[in-house]
Amino acid sequence: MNMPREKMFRYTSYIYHLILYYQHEKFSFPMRRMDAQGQLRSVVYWSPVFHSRPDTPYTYCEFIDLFIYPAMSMLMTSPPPRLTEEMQRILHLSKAYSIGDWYLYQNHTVIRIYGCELAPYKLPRYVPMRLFALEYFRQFGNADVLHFSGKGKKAQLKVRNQLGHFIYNKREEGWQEADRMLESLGLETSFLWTPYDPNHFISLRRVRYRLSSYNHLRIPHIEQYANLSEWQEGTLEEPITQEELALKQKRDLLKIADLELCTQVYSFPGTQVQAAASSSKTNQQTIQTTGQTSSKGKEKEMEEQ
Amino acid sequence: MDPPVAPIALNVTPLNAPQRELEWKPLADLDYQITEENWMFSKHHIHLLNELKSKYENGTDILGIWESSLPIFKLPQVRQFHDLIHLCAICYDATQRAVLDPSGSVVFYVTPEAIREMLQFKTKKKLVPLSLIDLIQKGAKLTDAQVTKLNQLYISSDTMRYPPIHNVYLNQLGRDLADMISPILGYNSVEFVDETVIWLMLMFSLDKKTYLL
Repeated sequence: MNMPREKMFRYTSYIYHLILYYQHEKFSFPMRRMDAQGQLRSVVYWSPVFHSRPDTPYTYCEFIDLFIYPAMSMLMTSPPPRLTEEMQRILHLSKAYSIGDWYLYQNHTVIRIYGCELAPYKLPRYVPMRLFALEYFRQFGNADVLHFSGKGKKAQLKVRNQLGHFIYNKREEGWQEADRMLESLGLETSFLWTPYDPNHFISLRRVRYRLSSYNHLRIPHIEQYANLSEWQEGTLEEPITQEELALKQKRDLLKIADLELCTQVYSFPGTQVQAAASSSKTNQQTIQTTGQTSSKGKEKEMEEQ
Repeated sequence: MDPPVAPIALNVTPLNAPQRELEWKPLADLDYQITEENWMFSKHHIHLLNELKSKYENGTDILGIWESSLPIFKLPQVRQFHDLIHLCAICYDATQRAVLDPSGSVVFYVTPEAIREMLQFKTKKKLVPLSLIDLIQKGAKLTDAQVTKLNQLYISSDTMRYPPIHNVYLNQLGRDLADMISPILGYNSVEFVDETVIWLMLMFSLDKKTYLL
């Protein structure tokens, strides 16, 4: 493997905060931009939506859907689809060679690779390539080990060696590493559906190796919504339990409480000498950035009373 | 919001990232160079600020860290998402030092002024550009007196330590400072503190000279 030396473009924390500061009207999560005196506060305290800490009230999926998706949409000619054409092609290369399905739920996305016996992760509504690649390696690797390579058979499935910015060096351990990386994001899992092999993709290959067939478990009321291009009302909605609902309400309260935390931060000596110049009036001035015409974001902004 | 001031070139030359062999990893992540590690032992951003403020108020901030403005530039750790960073890199226009949308409009500037603006850092004091090359050159020529000062102020070890210094040998003040300086210089880790960070740490001294970034 020849590793090219990539150009460096990092400082993720600065980039996120710059996007939020200059394009805050494009985001729908609650934020508090002003202090008690009506002066603009440092962007660091506007919202914890992308902050990484154990007690963050925002889930990883919310971080993607509320911040990453709008931010990426700004930089693209059209908003990215929930699952890109490339991802759909990987799952369905042709009628003869399909390796899995996707299910668009109202608030999340699920990928199911044929033969995988792991519960799939609930990916965000918008599935970025990085998460897709990890889920692909995880599920495809598991299926391969489970049905072929783990049974002393020559690997039967053509797993991609590279997807996105990941290189899959070792089949036996690579999928476990992908699993670990997804788990570390705190993603929840969807229900376990096994055996999952609607097109007999795995079963036919098992039989070719003189292994027992692999009979798909049919769940027609879900299967009928596989591989849709968009989510539609009345299709897939995963019911929320009372416990999950309570947890969500708790997190919503914490999001508001977290904004109050900002009031604990003091002004720095010797700085903000011209804070008055950054008053709300000044801040309404048009800046040479995109999307400054909408006032939608201001309505969502929470001004301190 | 104030419009970003006309871009001024930073006097910073990017360091070449070290090559790292990834073949041995079961799943190699080519984005490792732009990953900012989650620093497990770092203090919560607001807790650190409040601690520094408290020290300033009770007169134990003997090095003048609070007054230096350095804490303003200590940003909270964020969740990593490399797809967006790659997209920003693609949309970056070096002549304007800005990331542009497909229509050519500026989404955000990547300039010292834009960063100061978003952090609400306003000062009338003269600011000196930070040169990474300069730091590297000066850091490579630390004198014995500077190493002694380093050990007196920031090291909790009986034996003299020379850079790079593993962070286990740093005292709490040293760790907090390294924690604030390292990400500003673009380091992915604070496990080892090298000469460039140390040189900036040595800018703080007992005579409370205020050092503005």
